[in-house]
Amino acid sequence: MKGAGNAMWVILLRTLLVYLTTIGAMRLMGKRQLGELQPSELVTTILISNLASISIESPELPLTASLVPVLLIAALELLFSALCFRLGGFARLLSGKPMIVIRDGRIDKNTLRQMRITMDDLLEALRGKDIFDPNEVAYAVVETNGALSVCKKWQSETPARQDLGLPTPAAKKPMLPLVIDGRIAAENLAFCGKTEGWVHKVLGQKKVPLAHTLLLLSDDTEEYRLIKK
Amino acid sequence: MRRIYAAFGILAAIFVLALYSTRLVKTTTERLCRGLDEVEAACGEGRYEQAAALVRQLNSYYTRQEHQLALFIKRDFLSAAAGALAGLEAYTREESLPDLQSEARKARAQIEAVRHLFFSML
Repeated sequence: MKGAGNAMWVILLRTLLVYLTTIGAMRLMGKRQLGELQPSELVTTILISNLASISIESPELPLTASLVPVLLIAALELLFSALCFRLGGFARLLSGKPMIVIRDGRIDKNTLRQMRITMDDLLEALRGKDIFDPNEVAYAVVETNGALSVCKKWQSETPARQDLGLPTPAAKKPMLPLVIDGRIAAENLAFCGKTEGWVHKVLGQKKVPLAHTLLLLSDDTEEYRLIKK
Repeated sequence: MRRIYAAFGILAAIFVLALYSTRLVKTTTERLCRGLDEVEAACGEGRYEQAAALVRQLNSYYTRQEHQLALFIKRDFLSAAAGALAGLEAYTREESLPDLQSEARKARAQIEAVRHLFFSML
């Protein structure tokens, strides 16, 4: 029974070590992993998740069987991404290059065949962009992560404020969060040209302490939105 | 840039760990095999007390090394080698010489399996 109890502690400790190492590896690789994934990033994520579970599922295997490969893959991913940044040729080798599939409303069937993308796949991707007629598209590119980027013809574009001659709003900057969950967002404060003094003045007027502020949004005018906890 | 340095640091640490583990497995298995040869020689010359002491030393050495080896080698293999070594002392008697030789061969095979598991490429 004592052996079984010790085994439980060993499993807990190994799980904790593998979990912390995996989080550390993902943090080290940075935010690139969280958005649309390039092929090498997808492989990295899949491999790391599988390797991390090895030591947890099989306590008889050495801990290094998980930790070393996870750290090695994270280090290689970092170095390869740095090489891609410096050498365009290496980036193309690792991730491929974007391919144009529609030009001026005309679908490039050769490119689709080359990429093994069916017409159904293309139409589905266009519908995801709220486009139901390929003739509306001036330029469509399949990116290296498989996403479709579309530039519509000017006749199909949604008109902007400028096109409709609407007056420019007073605010030049967007509404940004200046206080999030009781903490002041210093970068957003500086971007909107505001100071901590302004924040405390507003909170004082509303009689809401900083610690009780869930969200305070503002732009470069005196407009603001305040949400209390 | 700091992340790149961290990546190089990790690669360097992995390289050092690989070198350390190679040396650990190599020296441990060589020491154990040499020890088994000494035990067999001692028994062959009738020095059974000395052989028993050598076996105890080998077991003690392996117990110390096993904790580090467990970081790199599957526990099943390490346990099998430990079991083979632990049973040797009972055969360090005049009437058990053929059994000692048989058990020593078995122990040597287990140690070679540990070495092969670590150094095999594929």
